[in-house]
Amino acid sequence: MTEFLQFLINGIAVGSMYALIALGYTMVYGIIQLINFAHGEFLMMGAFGGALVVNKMTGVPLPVALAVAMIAAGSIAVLTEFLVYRPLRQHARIYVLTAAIAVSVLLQNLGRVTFGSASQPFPGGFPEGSLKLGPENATVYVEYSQLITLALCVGLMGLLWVVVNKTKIGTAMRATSQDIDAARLMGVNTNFIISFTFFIGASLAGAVGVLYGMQYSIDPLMGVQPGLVAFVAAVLGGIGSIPGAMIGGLAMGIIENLVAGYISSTYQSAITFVVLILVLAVKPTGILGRMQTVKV
Amino acid sequence: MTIKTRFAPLAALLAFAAPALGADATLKVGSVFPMSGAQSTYGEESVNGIELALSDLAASDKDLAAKITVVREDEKSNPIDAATAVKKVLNVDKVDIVFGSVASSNTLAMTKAATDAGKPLVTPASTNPQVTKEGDGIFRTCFIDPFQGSVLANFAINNLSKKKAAILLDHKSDYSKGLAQFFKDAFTAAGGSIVAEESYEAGKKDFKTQLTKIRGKNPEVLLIPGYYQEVGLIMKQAKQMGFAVTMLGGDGWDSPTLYQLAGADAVKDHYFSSHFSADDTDAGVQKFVKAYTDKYKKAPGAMAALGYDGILVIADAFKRAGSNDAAALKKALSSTVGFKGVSGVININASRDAEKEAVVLKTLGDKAVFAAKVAPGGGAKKSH
Repeated sequence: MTEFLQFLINGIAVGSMYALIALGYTMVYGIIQLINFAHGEFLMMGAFGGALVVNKMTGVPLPVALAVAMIAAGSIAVLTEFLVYRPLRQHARIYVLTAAIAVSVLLQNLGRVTFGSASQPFPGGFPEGSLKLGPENATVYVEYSQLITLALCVGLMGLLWVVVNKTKIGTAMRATSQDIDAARLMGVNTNFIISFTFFIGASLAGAVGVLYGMQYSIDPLMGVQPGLVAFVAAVLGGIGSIPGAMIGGLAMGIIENLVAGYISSTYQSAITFVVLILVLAVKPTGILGRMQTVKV
Repeated sequence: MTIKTRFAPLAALLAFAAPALGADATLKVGSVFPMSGAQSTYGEESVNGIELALSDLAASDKDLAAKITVVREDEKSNPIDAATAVKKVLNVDKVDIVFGSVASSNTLAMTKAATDAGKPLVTPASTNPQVTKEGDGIFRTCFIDPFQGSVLANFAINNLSKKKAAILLDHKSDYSKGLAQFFKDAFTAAGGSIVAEESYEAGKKDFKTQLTKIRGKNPEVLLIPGYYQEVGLIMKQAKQMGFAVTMLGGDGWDSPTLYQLAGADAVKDHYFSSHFSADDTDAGVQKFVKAYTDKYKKAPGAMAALGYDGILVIADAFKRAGSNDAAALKKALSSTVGFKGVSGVININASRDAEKEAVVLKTLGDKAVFAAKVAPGGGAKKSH
C-alpha cells in the first residue's frame, strides 16, 4: 500500500506537468487542427529562457523565472506560427504537419548550437527535502519540488480555464475553434486568435520547462520525451478538449509509474505508445473528444 | 590535415637515427587520433602519451626506438574522416601497422581499411566489444566495456564486503546491459545476490518509481551502469527520497557534470571503475605522472596512459616479431603476456582484447580519487 501511494504521488507529480504540455497540443489542434510537433521544443526554449535570466541576475525568484520562460516560449511560438505555419495554412494539412516536424528539428539544433548539447543543472533549483507522511516503516515521501510543481500546474490550469471560459478573448477562441469561417464573419480577428492560442499553449509549456528543469536538468533535447508523452496524453483525453488534456496528462503520469512499479520499468516508455495504439483502436476520439471526421 | 610538424623534434631524432640501422627492420606506425573536433582533448592526450612513450623508449632501448617511425593523421572526431585518415596512412604512407583511435564508432570506421590492406590495427582506447570482432588483425590494449562489471562485482564483494546488490540499468544501451550482465555473473559467482533489477531509458528524467522499488528490497549496493546525465539525476533523486545506498558505476560516470547535476551531497562515497587514475600510488604510475606533468604542464588523463601503453605494446611486439611483416606482427601482438604498462599489466587474450586490471575511484562530492586496483577476476573468462 505504501508503495502504491508512492507510485501514485510520483505519477501525479509528473502527470501534472504532462497535462500542462498536453494543453498546448490540444488547444492548437482545437483551433487549426494541427498537431504541433515542435511543442516540446517550446518547452525547451522556455527552460533555457528561464535559466538565462536566473544566471544573469542572482536572486531572481521562481515567479520571475517562470514569467520569463512563459513569455520566451510564447513569443517563439507566435513567431513560428507567423513565419512558418501561417503561410502554409491554406494548403493541405500535411504541409503544416511536416513543417512542424522541421521546426522541431530546427529548434533542437538551434538549442544545441546556442546552449551546448550537454545536460546541465537548472541554476537555483527547488528547496530540497520532502514531506514524510505515514508511520516510520511505511513512509510516503512527497518532495517539496513535487508539491510546488503540482500547485503551480493546478494554478495555471485554473487560470487557463478562466481565460477560456470567462473572458471575451476566450469566447473568441472557442468560436474560432468551433467554426473558423463563421467566427471570421462575426468579426473575430481569427489570425490574432490563432497567434494568441499559440502563445498561451507554448507559455504553459515554457512554464513546465522551468519546473521540469528545476527538478531534473536542462538540455536541448529535454522537450522530446515529455512532448511525446503529452501528445499521447492529449489524444487519450480527446484531442481538442481542454479538460481532456488535463485528465489525459494525469492519467499518463500515473500509468507510467504504475507500469514501472508493478509490471516492469523496462516498459515505462513503451507503455506510452501502447496507450496511443489502444486509444486509436478502441476510442479514437479519446475520453472527452468530439465526434468528427478528421483528416491529417 | 597532417600534424606532423608539431612533432618536428621527434621526427628529426628518428630521421637521424633510422638510416644507420638499415631500412629493412623498421616499423612505420600510422597513428590516427582526433586532433580537432569534440574529442580533440582525447586525441591530444593520446598523442602526448605516444610522444612520451617514444622518448622513454629511446632512453631505455635506443636501438628499438630508432627503428620506429610514427606518421600522424587527424580523424577530426568523426567516423567519415577516420575512414579517410586510415586510408591515407595505409595507401600513401604505406604504414606497417595502424594505431588508433579513441571513440569506438570511429575505430569501427577504420577497421575495414586495415583488414583489406592486411595490416594490423591496434586501438588503445576503444572499449566497445564489437571493435576487435571486425577482423583477426584488430587488437586493443584496453579492457572492453562490460569487463568493468566484473571489476565492480569483485570490488563490492572483496573491498566493500557487500553481498546484496541491486541494478538500475539503461535498457537501450549495450554498454549498460553488458556491464550489468558481467556484474551479475561475477557477483553471484562470488556468493552475492541480486535483490532487484530495474531499468530506465536514456532521456527519461524521473527515476523515483524505480528507486522506490529498489529501496523496498534493501540492497547494500546499487549498480548504475549508465552515463553521467542520468546517473547524476538518479543520485539527486535518491538523496531527496532519503535513500542512502552505496552506488557503483563504470567509466560513463567520469565527467564533472555528474557532480553538478547531482549536487555535492548526493555524490559522496560512491565508486566507479576506470582505466587509470593519476593519484594511483603505484611507483610506475607516479613516475609516468611526474614525467608527463613535467613535459605537458598538466596531469595525465586516462587517454594519455592508454596511448602511452598502446604504442609500447606495439614496440614490444615488433621487437619480438623481429620484422615488420603483418603476419609476424599479429602473431607477436596475440602473444603479448604480462606487459607492464602504466595502466596495468596487459595480457592479450584469444579475442584480441586486453585483460588487465582496472582502477576504482571514489567520489568525494566534487571529484573522484583513487580507491583501489582490481585485477581481472571471475568475469574475464567470458570475454573469450
